[in-house]
Amino acid sequence: MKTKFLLGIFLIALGLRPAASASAQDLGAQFKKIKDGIFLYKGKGSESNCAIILTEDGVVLIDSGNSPTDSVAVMQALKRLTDKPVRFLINTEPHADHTTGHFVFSPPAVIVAAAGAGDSMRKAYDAERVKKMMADPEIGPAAKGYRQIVPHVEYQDKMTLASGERAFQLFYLKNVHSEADSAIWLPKERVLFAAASVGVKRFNNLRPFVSIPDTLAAIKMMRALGPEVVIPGHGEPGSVEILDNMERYYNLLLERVRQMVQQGKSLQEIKKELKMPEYADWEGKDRFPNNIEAAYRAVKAN
Amino acid sequence: MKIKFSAALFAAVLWFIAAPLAAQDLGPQIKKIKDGIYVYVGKNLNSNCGIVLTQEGVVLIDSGHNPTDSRAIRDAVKKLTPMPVRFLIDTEPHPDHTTGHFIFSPPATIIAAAGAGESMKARDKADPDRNRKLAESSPEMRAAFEGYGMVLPHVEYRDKMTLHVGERTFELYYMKNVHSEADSAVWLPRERVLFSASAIVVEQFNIFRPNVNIPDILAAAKMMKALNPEFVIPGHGIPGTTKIFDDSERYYALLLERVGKMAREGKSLDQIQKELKMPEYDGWATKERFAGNVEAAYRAVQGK
Repeated sequence: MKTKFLLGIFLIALGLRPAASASAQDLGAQFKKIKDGIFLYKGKGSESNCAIILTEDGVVLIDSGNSPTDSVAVMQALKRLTDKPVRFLINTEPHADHTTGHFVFSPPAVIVAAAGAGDSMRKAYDAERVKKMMADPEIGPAAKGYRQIVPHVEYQDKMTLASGERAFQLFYLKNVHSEADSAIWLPKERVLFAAASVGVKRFNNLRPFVSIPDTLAAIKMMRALGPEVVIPGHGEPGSVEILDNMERYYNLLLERVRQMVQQGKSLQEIKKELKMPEYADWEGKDRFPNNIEAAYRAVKAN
Repeated sequence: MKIKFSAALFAAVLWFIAAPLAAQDLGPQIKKIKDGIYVYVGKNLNSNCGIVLTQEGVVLIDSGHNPTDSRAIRDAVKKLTPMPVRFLIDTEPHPDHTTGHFIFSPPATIIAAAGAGESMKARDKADPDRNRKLAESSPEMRAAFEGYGMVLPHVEYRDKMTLHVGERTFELYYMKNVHSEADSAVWLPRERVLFSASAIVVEQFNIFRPNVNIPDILAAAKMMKALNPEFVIPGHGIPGTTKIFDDSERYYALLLERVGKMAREGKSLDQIQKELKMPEYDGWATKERFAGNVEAAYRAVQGK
């Protein structure tokens, strides 16, 4: 009787023991603790981020790392954080630098994304790229067992995910970066994953369907949530300042392009003449011309 | 070594026997719809449960009327496949569809329309003794409730979502104001099988809560019929075809016509409820709900 009682106490204590017994530093240089039970694997350089969120019902990942080596590093880290399985993996976007590592976690993870993510992944699938990845001396070993795994759940507009004590709100962001971008909001923890709608001191790649007005609307919506921590798809995590900076940049870009259009200048002339010295220290300068194109589209549409 | 070998052989034989089970071997409640798609048809208009096998595991549509049903469903699933139940889709949050969640989750991920979790919590709060009373109804029920805990949906979608599991695709459509706070139609486009939830019932009168209205039910029926299903599996009642929708549409059209006529004659709702007869539907069950049907029709003809 007494043994049973003691065993019970022991088991309860085991259950109550903080699962996160490893600290963020122990996990490796790429790991940052955001809040209790919320860790970020910060991509090297400007590579994609991946977040590990512990819940009573298992782990929820946001994205799966830039490449399989990152996915494996994340898998090793989370095994030190908890013995629970990865139950859900939420994609902020379907591009390969966020989704190639799905196979490392699923099964058993259920993969969740905005509508269109699976189609986007299938269309982008490149057998040559996979072959190269498998043959790569650095990535190859981690990519062993690779197969393309598309999302199980595709939502439209908005959905909520509950896992243990935590709630995740997913918002579809239209025309901000890929065919299926999601912002992920943890209302209790006030942590926002802003996807690649915003960059940090870096010009975004604005594809022909990407719209600056839609991006500004997304920024406004995300800021209205009142986040304490903002984690972009790529780059250092921070505060709403990340949203503010991006908004200021796009507004200034729109204003300057609008002025030049009013002066009767062509897109080509604008691309040659427009300078934004305020952003001389931003990365991804090769993308500045497509930023001008996007601004030109927006100005012309009005 | 020899024992190990015999055990392996035994397991192999067991697997071989288990795989090609006919629906009859699964018990009288289980009806095969198509390859890999079965329905546990609830007794006496109790709720149905769909069992869909995929290469990546099992997907259930609802979890059975009571925990005794849920356990029978779980046993049938085990006979059909060694794979786990990966997903459970709720057609509605009411307890006769969701009490059995705990039998399947974990590991199943539960999916429902937005508002389902709130609805489940509110009902539980309003009637906290329901499950205790139900458990006391028989020793079998008491045993089936062992390990009970309320398990809420993990995923709540709005409007529309898609679920991909193995080789199968499931499209979920939120249906507004048809029965509960969060009704979903579940459509398998390749298989042409539709789970129509409790929007449409078979040979019985539907219950009309204040949020439910006839125009929205007719709109849902039209939407579902447009999917062009080969099989229609209602939330309650015998699985059939789109005839289920046709029957329901005919009933509501006739009801609206008669109530409309009486309202134009200046009759009050009270008078209509007293006088209106629909002898064509004498064979339908749950007649106590007819007065509510008349009220809903009265609301509709008044444009409310």
